[in-house]
Amino acid sequence: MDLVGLVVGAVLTLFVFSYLLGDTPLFRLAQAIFVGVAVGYAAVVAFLLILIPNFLQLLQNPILLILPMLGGLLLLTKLRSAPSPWGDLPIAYLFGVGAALAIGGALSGALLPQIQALIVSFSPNQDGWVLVNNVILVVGTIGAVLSFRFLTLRTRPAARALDAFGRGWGLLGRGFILIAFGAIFADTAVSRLSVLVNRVYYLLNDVAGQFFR
Amino acid sequence: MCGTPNKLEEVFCSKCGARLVPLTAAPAAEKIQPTTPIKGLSLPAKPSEPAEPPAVPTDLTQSQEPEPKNWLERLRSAAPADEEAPAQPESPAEPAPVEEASETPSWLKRLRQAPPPEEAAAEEPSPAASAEEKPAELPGWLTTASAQKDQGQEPSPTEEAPGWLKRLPTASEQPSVEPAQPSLQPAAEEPISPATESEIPDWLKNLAPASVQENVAPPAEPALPQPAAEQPPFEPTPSTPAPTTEPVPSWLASIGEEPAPATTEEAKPGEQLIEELEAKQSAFEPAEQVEVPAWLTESETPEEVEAEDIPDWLRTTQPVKPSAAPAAVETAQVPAWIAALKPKTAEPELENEPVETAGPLAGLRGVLPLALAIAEPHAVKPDFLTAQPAGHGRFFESILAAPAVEAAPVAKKKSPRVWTMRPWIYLLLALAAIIPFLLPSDWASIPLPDIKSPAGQFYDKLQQLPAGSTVLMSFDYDPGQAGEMNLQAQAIVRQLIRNRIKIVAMSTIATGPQMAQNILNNATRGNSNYVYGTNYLNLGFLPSEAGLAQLVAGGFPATAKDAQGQDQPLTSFPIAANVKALRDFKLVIELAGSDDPLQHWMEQVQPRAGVPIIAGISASAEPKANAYFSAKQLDAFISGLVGAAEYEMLSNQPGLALISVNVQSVALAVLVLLIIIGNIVYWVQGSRRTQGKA
Repeated sequence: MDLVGLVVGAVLTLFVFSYLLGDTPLFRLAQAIFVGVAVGYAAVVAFLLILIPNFLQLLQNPILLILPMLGGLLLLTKLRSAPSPWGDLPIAYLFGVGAALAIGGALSGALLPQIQALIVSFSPNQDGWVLVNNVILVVGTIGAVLSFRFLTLRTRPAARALDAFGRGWGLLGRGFILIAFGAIFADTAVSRLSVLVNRVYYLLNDVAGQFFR
Repeated sequence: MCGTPNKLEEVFCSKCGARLVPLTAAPAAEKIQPTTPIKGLSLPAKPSEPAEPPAVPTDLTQSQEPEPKNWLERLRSAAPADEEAPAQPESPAEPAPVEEASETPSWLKRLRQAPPPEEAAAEEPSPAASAEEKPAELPGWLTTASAQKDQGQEPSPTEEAPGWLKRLPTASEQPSVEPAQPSLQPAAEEPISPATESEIPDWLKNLAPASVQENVAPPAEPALPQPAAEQPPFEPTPSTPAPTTEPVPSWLASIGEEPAPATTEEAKPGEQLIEELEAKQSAFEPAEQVEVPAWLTESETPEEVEAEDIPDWLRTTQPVKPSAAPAAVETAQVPAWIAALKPKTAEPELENEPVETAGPLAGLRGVLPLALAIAEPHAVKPDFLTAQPAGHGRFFESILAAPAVEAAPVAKKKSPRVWTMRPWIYLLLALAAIIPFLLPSDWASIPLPDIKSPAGQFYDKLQQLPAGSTVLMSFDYDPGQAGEMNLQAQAIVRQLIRNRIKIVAMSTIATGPQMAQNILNNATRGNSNYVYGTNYLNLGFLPSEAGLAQLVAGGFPATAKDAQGQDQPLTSFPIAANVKALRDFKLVIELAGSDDPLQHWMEQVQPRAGVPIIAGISASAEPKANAYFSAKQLDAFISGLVGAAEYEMLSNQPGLALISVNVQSVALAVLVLLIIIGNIVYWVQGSRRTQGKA
C-alpha cells in the first residue's frame, strides 16, 4: 500500500507540474481529485467525530434534544419560499453566536492587546535601537490607521491644518502598509518555494529512490 | 380649364394657365398652356372675322355665365322672334369668353344677313365643300334656318342646317325657349331621322370614330383645332335622324362621363350637348369611314391641340380635376431680404444624385457608396492633405472615383511564436531546486552561531518543561502545507519525547488529526517507552472557534473520544486523568499552517486560558505572528523551513530541514536575481520609451 500511495503521489505531483505548460486536463484532474478528497474526508470526520457523538449524547437526555432538533427542522424550511421565514430563526441564532465569538475575540484577543503593545517607552535612557524601534512602531501604526481616514475638507484654518497633518501622516502610514504587504508577499513566496523543495525531494528521494535504489 | 376663379383682369388662369380671354386673332408669340385633348365634338366658337377685343371677364364664373342670353336675344331681336335659340348647339358657357354683347360672331352676322332659302338650298348639296371652300360662311343649318325664318318664322341660313338641328323645335313652336336652357337639350321626344350625309357638317363627321362611322353619318366638319377665322360656320342639320338602337359610341359617352366639378351650371351645357348628341347620333345612318382626326384620339397630346382653337364654352366640358386649392390668393411681392431667409431645401447639386434604394439611407440623395469603398481597394492620392476640405464628402468621392487597385495578395503567415521568459524562469527554478539535492554536503558539521531568533526562545521554552508534564499540541495544517510544517512537527515531537513530555494532540482542521497521528507514529516508532493513551493521545477534531471557546470554558467535552476510533471516553485514558481543562496543560504548542488557526487561538484561548502558547507557523503567517509576538501574546514561534532548520540545529538533530533550507536558499537567490534583472530591464525600457516620446 505504501508503494501504491507513493506512485499515486508521484503521478499526481507530475500532473500538478503540468500546469507549467498551461491549463492542461491533467492539472484539472489532479485539482479535482484533491478538492474532492479533501471535502469528502472533512465531511466524514465532521459526521463521525462531531455529529454522531453529540447526537448520541443528546439522546441520553431527550429533553435537551428538542431545541436542537427544532432548529434543524426550521432550517429545512428554507427549501421552500413560503415557509422560508421560519428558517430565519435558527440562522439568526447561528449568525449571532458566530458574530459574538468573532467580535468578542477580536476585541479581547487582537485590538486591546495590540493597543497595549503600542504603549512603548520613548525614554532616551534605553537602548538606541530599542528607541528607534519604538518610534518606528508608533509612527507606523498610527500612520497606518490614519491612512484610512476619509473626511471632508473643513473651512476653519485650524481644522484644515489638522486635516493636512493627518493626511500627511496617513500618507506615511500607507508606505508602512505597502512595506507590510511586500513582506507578506515575500513570506508567501518563501512558503511556496518550501513546498516546491519538498515535492522535488519527494520525487528524487522517495520515488526515485524506491525504484532506482 | 380648372375652374379656379380668377380676377377680371386676368388673361390666363392663375392655376392652370388656360386662356381666359378669347383671342380674336391667333397671336404667334402668346404662350398658351396646353390643355387636355377634347373628346367629342367641338363647335366653332370663334368668329371667322376678327372680333373686337373682348372685355376681360372678372372671374371665371362670370366668363362662364350664360351670355348666350345676350347674343341669342340679339339674334332674336335682329331676326324674327322665331329665331331658334336652342338650335345652336353651343353651350351657354361659350358666349362669355367668346362673345360679348358688343361682339357678334361673323356667322351670326351672316345669319342676320342670310340669303333666301333658295340660295341656301342651292348650296345644300355640298355643304362640306362649301364649308371647306368657304369656311367663313355660315353653317348650312344656320343658313337654312335663316331662310326658313324669312319664310316662316325661322332663320334662313346660307347653308342647309344639319339634320339634327332641323329636328330641333323652331322658335315658333317654342317661343318661350329660355336662353338659360342650353340648346343642347335633347329632343328626345321627337323621333330623330337620320341625317343625310350632306346635312352633317364636316366637323361633326370628323368627330365620329371609325366604329361609329358605320352607323352614323359623321359630320363633314373639319378638325376642331382651326383658327377661329377659318372655322367653318356651324351647319345645323335640317332634320334630325330617327332614333336608332345603336349604342352610344364610347367617344361620345366619355364626353358625358367626364365631370365638370367647377360648377353645375358649367357642366349643364356640356352634358346637355352630349345628351343631345347621343340622341341624335343614334339616328345617324352609317356613313363612310372618316378618318378620325388625330386631335380626337386619346393619344393626342395637349400640345397638338392649340388651345385657342378650342371654343371656350367647350373648355368647360374638359375634365376638370378636382382642385383642392383654395380660392385664388393674391401673391405679394416678397422682398429680397425675406426671400433670402427662405430655407434651402436641397442643394441643386444633390438633385442630380441618384437616390439610395436600400439600407437605412434609402430615399436620400448624395449617399456615398461606403460599401463599395470598403470592399474595393482604392489608391489614395498623394495630395490628399492639400485637397479641398471634406465638404460634402467630395474628397472621399474622388477616392472612390479613382480606379480600383488590385489588392496585393495577402500571404498567409504563420503567427510567430511569442518568445517569453517564462519557460526559462521555470527551468532556472527547477534546476535551483534539483541541483543542491545532488551536491554532497555535510551540514551537521558546520557550527552555527548562537541563534537569537525567536527559534531560540522556542527551543528554550520546550527545554524549560519539567519531565512528565503534559503539553497540548494542535496540528492545524492540511496536507498542502505539510511540506514545511511536518519538518517542524517532527523536530518538536522528537524533542518532547526525548524530554519525556506527554503529548495530547488535537486539531481544529478536519485533516489535522491524521497529520498528527502520522507524526506521532513516526516519532514513537521503535520507542517502547511511549505508549498510546499513556504518554500521548490524539483527541481528534475540534470545531475551530466554537470548539476552542468551549475548551476554554468547560474543558474537553464529555463525548470526546480519541482519533483512533477506539470509542473510549477521554477519561478512560491515563494521560487524561490529570487534565480536564486547558489550564491543566503546561504549554500549548500551536502548529498553524496559515493565519486563521493562529488568530483563533490568539483571540479565543490566549486572553482567558492563562496558559502560555508557542507556535510553529508557516512562512506566510510570519507577519501576523510577529505582531502577536510583539504584543506578547505569543511567547515564541518558529517560522517555515528556516525555523525548522534552526530548531533542528538547536536540538541537535539535523534532518531534512537543514538539507531543504539549502535548496530553498539557492532557489531564493535565483528568484531575487530574476527580480533584480527584471526591474533593470523595465527601467531601461521605460527610459527609452520616454526618450522616444521626447
